[in-house]
Amino acid sequence: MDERSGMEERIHRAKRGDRTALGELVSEHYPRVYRFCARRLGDDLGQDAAQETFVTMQRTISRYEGRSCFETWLLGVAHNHCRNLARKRMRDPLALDDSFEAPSADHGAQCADGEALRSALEKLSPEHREVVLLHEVEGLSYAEVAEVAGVPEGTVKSRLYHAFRNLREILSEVPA
Amino acid sequence: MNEREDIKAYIDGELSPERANEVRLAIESDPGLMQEYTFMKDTSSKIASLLRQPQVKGAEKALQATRPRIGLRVMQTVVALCASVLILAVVFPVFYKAKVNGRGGGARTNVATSFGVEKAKERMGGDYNGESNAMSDTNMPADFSPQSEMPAVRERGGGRDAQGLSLSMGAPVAEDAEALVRQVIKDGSYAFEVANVQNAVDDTIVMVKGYKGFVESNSNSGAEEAKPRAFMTLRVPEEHFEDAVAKLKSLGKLRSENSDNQDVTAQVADIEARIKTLKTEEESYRELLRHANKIGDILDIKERISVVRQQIESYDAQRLTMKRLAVLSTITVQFEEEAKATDEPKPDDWFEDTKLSAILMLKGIGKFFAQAGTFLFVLSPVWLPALLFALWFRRRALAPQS
Repeated sequence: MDERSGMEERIHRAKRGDRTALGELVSEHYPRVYRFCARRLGDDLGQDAAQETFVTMQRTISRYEGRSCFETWLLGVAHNHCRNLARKRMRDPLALDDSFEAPSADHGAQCADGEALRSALEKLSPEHREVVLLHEVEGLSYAEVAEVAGVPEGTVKSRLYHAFRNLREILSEVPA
Repeated sequence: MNEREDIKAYIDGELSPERANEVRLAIESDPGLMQEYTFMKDTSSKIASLLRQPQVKGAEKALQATRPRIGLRVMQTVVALCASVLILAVVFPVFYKAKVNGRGGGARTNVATSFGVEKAKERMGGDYNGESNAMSDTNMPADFSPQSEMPAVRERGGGRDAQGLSLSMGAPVAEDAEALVRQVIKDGSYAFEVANVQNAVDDTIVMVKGYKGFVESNSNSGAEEAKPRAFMTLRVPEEHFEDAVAKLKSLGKLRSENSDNQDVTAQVADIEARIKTLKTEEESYRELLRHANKIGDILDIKERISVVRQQIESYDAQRLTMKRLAVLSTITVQFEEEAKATDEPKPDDWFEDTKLSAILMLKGIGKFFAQAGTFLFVLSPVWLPALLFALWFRRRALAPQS
């Protein structure tokens, strides 16, 4: 049994209320979902968001029709929970504070580059920042970003291009 | 097509092979595009290198959160049960009370006026002094005397004037108001189905006499009729009205009931005030008459006294009638003999009976749902918060613990 059919089988069992299959799905996808949430909200809030994501998964897995990758569907749920939690805590749901490593003194020029890039990313519009985060940070394909963000694939492509153009303009204005 | 916009998609490998080839050629031939390509590629790799890899934690909690917690379902059931009990505890007493009130509409007015009955016992004794003579109905028993029913009151009324007025002349207004007693004229019409009309009539006459009342009229269609009937008009002391009705109800099956209570306190008070004013006027004329010397003046004053006296008598008669009506309630009774068992039902009646039963049952079910819907709607402020609380509690119980 290959990995894909094994996953489908687990989903099928979880839909029928099999607790073991549900536990397996949680164990399997938790790290990915947790990292996704923690990069958005920080470790503590990210943990809450990840838990809520799996609770929602448990409740709504019967509605999952298999039209997209299961993990993308889960990240879509996590994306919504992150947005709701951020709104509740009066935070920017697309803040970059927790997405990148904290600058260290060891790498001078590299660190300065990183800081400039991070600052430039923060200046992007929320729509552009969202697609950059989902594609560049989370490594989702255009189709997956489209599903998670709820926009057409063409829009994702266009937004990414314009986001990078804006980044180039912002970074060119920064004195070397 | 603009190759520039596809550079990013080309880097990410999101283009078809043909399109990717076109974009690659365009980049190689155009230094500007090459610069943009280089920037985008470098920036993408820089972002990837800066990426934080949070250490995974809380997986066990997520697993626990997705496991159904012990007692959650029990708690949900308990909350649901509590909500149901609360709804039942609120809905059914109201429902029952509404039904009872619907059945016994007439009883309420009787209770409301019972206060007047008690008060009348205390205060009206004096008013009967002049009234017993006026009640010269031929059917009235010789021993009927409202005073005899209220000995305590008679003592209090002893000091009143010869006209039986409860308001003495010149008394303060506040005292007058206090002396007012609620005057309620009670009327009731009842129709009964009895086993034997003549027996019911006899029992009624005995009962009325027992209450010191009398039968005002009695007409009987006769026992030879196919369905004998009797119509009676009874007069019973107001305080025995309810008892008399209760006894009548025990005589047979009640077919219809109609009772009416008319409060004439204000009218009586108005008439009494008029009488009082006229009496004062009469007294002053009499005083003038005593000092008058001329024949013309004497005749003139006597004429005026006569007019005032007529008015006093007229008002007094009205007052007495009202009080008499209030003191003696009127009960109109109709007795009808129960239909005797006739032939056995025809064999083909079963279908009609079944149909009627089914229609009645359908009506009953419809009525039940309509009533239940109305109650649920009206009582939504009670059960809706309970339901919302249960839902909130369920949501809270399902939420992960951080």
